[in-house]
Amino acid sequence: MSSTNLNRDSIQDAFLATKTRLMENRRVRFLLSPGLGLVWTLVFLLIPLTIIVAFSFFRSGDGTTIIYELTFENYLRFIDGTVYQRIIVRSFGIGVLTTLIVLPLGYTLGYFIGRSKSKWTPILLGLVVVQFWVPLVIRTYAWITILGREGVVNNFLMWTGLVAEPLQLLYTTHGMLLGLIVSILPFMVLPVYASVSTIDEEIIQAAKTMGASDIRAFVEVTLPLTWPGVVSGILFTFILSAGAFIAPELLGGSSDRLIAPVIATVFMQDFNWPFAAALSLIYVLLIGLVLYLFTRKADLEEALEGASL
Amino acid sequence: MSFLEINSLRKVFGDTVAVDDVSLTVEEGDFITVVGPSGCGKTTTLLNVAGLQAPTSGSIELKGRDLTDLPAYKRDIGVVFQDYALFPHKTVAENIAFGLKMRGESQSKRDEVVEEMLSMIDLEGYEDVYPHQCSGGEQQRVAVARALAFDPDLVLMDEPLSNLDKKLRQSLRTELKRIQRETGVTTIYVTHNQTEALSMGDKIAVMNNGNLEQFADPKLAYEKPASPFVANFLGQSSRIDGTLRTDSAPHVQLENGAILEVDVREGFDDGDAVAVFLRNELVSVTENQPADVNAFTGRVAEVDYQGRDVIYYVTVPDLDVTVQVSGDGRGTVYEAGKKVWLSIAPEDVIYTASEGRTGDQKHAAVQTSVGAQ
Repeated sequence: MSSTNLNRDSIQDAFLATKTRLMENRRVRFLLSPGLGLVWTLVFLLIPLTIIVAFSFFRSGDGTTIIYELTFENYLRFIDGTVYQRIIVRSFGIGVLTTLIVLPLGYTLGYFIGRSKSKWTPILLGLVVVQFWVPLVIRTYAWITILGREGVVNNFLMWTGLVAEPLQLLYTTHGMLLGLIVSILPFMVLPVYASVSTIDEEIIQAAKTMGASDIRAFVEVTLPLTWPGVVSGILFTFILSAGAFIAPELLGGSSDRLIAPVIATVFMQDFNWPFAAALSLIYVLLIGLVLYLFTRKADLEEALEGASL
Repeated sequence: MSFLEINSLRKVFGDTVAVDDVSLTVEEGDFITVVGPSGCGKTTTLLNVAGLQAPTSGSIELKGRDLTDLPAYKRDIGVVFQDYALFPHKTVAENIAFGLKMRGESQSKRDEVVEEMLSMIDLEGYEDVYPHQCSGGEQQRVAVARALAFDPDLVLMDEPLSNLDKKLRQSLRTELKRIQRETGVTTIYVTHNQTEALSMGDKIAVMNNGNLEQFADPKLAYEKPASPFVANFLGQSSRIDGTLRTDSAPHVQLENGAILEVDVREGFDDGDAVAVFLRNELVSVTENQPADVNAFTGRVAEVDYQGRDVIYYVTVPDLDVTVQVSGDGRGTVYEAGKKVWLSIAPEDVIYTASEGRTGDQKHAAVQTSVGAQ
């Protein structure tokens, strides 16, 4: 027992010593300095983005070639045709739907974990994030073995005799939604948990002494104080589900082609890089607009100001 | 039927008895202070009255209504928390109006009360300010206004001044008393500060180890403490044990044979074992032998000069103790090693039954170091 402690201590000491030594190294310090963050952003975000913007104004030639002359035809193609517009609308629709389902589920879970004072709290939190140990693609493949014709669910239903024929669960919108909800849930639970756990119990008690029932205390005090957590949870959920790539590809049906896989197809199969670049930009601008309108509506600043005490 | 009746309140957490059989009655309009060291059960008692904790046994009645099983939000009791517990996302006005809003009062009625409250706490114009923009003292006053705004039957305050600096505490103490006088609201005020408890309370309840040691007028508790604990807690004093003799001139005979003349106290008989408490400020120090009875010679062991006052630790062989005495810092200050005379008038000698001495010894030891010669 004591030897393991000793061991752990010595490991910790060694770790701290190494950390100190590294931080004393000027080159290491330079690489970690905040100013360098700007350089990273420039190299890995702004430059690729600029390339995409540039590409979106070029023309696709025969095969995989690109004709380097300025044109608006990629944007006009989006505006004139309804196919890609419908795909974006559908992606946003799936985003809204996922958010509407994830919000109550995630809030309830985050609220109770945040409120619980038991020694199990860290374990509950661990259960929420444990799925991140497995890559998303593998987690999504796991759903195939659960939802497929020969999957766990259908085998069980057939065994009980509730259904005579296997149900079509895989390659449906429901299947895709299920995959999205489960993988995105932690992104709602964690911010809600974080904001709930910072609320001082006495504040809620104070509301009760002044005549607020449990429900009114929740509406008047808990909910507004957790609002910043809710808003960030909604943003995460919407962005992740509207832009989902793996779940619609592996679990969704033929009508569930969302924007991310579609852009990938235009890039990788049609090799129409200019049009794919234009689609990407249009999507980014539209989602930026949606988020801007949402955060303005959500009074994010006021919510944050109230919670910043 | 009293205004508030706490009957045999008991609260147990696991193996810990936080409050052990506390009974207390409060009359309408009274300002009661509850005082005791931390962990004595005073805050637990308060939370049980507020309905934020449920008693293990016992009952609480307010205006003849049994509150014991009533949830906090139906009790009409205002609470001022130690950390104020203001709503950070609501303005000062919204905080103050919260109780009225819960009672369905109209906006115009709420505005009217908020204005009235802000003028009472001297914070006119603070309606739209957020709590985190207020100073500690301002937040404290808002918390008080918020607890009073919905016209509760009773207001409970849990160490509301303990987070403030000494100067502010002083002025807010006066302010709180004024507000209570103006509104006439029955108030229970919990504190661990003896001075605060004595100066603010119409009546003072001294608690220790989950028990109510004494509930009395502050002057009575100070001069005629019910237990050694109360005597010790309400003021700086030195403890000496002895036997009460009332056959001739009433006196306490100490274990070493020395005699201390005292006044007769009701309920005490000849031969009772008593604990004598010599209050610092009631013992006088002189260079020459005074003409008074109860004069003892001793040697200054330590001097603690504090400006206006000076505290001497005087070793008195006759009493077998080191007595802590307050002297006048503006006159001659005696140096350590100096031989001085101590005297105390018989009516100033405080004594209680010495029972419970074992339990209280650790408190007594703070003031009295026995046999340090």
